[in-house]
Amino acid sequence: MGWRNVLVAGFVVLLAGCASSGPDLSKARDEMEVGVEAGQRGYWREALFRFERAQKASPDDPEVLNNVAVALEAVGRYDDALATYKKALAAAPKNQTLRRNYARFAEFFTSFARGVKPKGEPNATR
Amino acid sequence: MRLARVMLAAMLLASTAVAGVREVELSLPLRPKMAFTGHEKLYIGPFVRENKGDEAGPDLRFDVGAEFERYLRRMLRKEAKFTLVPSVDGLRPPTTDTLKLERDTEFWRELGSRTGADYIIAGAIDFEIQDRSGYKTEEYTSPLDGRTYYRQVMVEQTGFTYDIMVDVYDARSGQLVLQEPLKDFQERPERNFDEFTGMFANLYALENQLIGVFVPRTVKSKRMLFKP
Repeated sequence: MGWRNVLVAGFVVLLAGCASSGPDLSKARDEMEVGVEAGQRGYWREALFRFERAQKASPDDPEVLNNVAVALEAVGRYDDALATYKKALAAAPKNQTLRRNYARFAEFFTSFARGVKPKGEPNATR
Repeated sequence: MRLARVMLAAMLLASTAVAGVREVELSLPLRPKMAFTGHEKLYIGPFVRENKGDEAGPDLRFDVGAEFERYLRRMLRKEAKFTLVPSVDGLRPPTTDTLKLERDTEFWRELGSRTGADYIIAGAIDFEIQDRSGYKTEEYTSPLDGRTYYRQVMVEQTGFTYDIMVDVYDARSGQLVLQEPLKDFQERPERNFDEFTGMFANLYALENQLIGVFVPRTVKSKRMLFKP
């Protein structure tokens, strides 16, 4: 009956994983899901709100940080997006998706920074 | 035992399928290179033809500078609300040396007061046509024996290089306020390809960058969101 032991052990590991995540991580997951849906529909302020709530529940999760950075980009807060991407990369330097997002952001941000602020908007958000 | 393996594999698959990524598209703004309000009076020209070194440029059936001025006027009329001041007939820059011309604030100030423009958009253009035809090594598989061979084939190509320096002068002071280099290379699979068509292929490729000097643009860019 060795296979039964293996099966039971598998379920125990899975349940332990769920239990250890606790209510905070479960809440973070829920917020992330709603945020992704909002982002896909183009409601980026809502998405940012959701991702920031997820970040409160799970502050150093690189995937949450990535989503916050993307939403910050979408609402035009580029300096904050840069800082958040860097924080995410520090947490997961080898994450390919994160690195690709950061590379695309860096390309845009360099080009954006080379431009000039429009007249009459001296304190325009970068 | 077999059932256990299947169950374990299913659990592993389930745990990886739960997490995923979703692609989204962002519309990102790009600022113009010049801080225009969009209602300035602009004078377009002159664009002088520049040659690299001592080599004379190719004889063309058209005036590269005049064609570019016409193209830029049309583009700015379409994309912006600037007031474009009419061209001054017979305007000749005091020198064809582009470096000297850039520093000739007196010339630009005088042109500004003559036309009533706020800014002058001028510059230098280097347009080159290259016959890039020649023999190239090509791999092919023989239909007779199925083996791969290498053979030399004649490839006919014409290359067009368009190198432009767009200068923006303050028409009141004559000072150079912006210099923006733009360059494009196009290749056409034909020998002696029409030079006029080649030049416009260059210009259409540069259009987005060129308009970006004067007005804000939006670019689309893709990002990935992690979905738990």
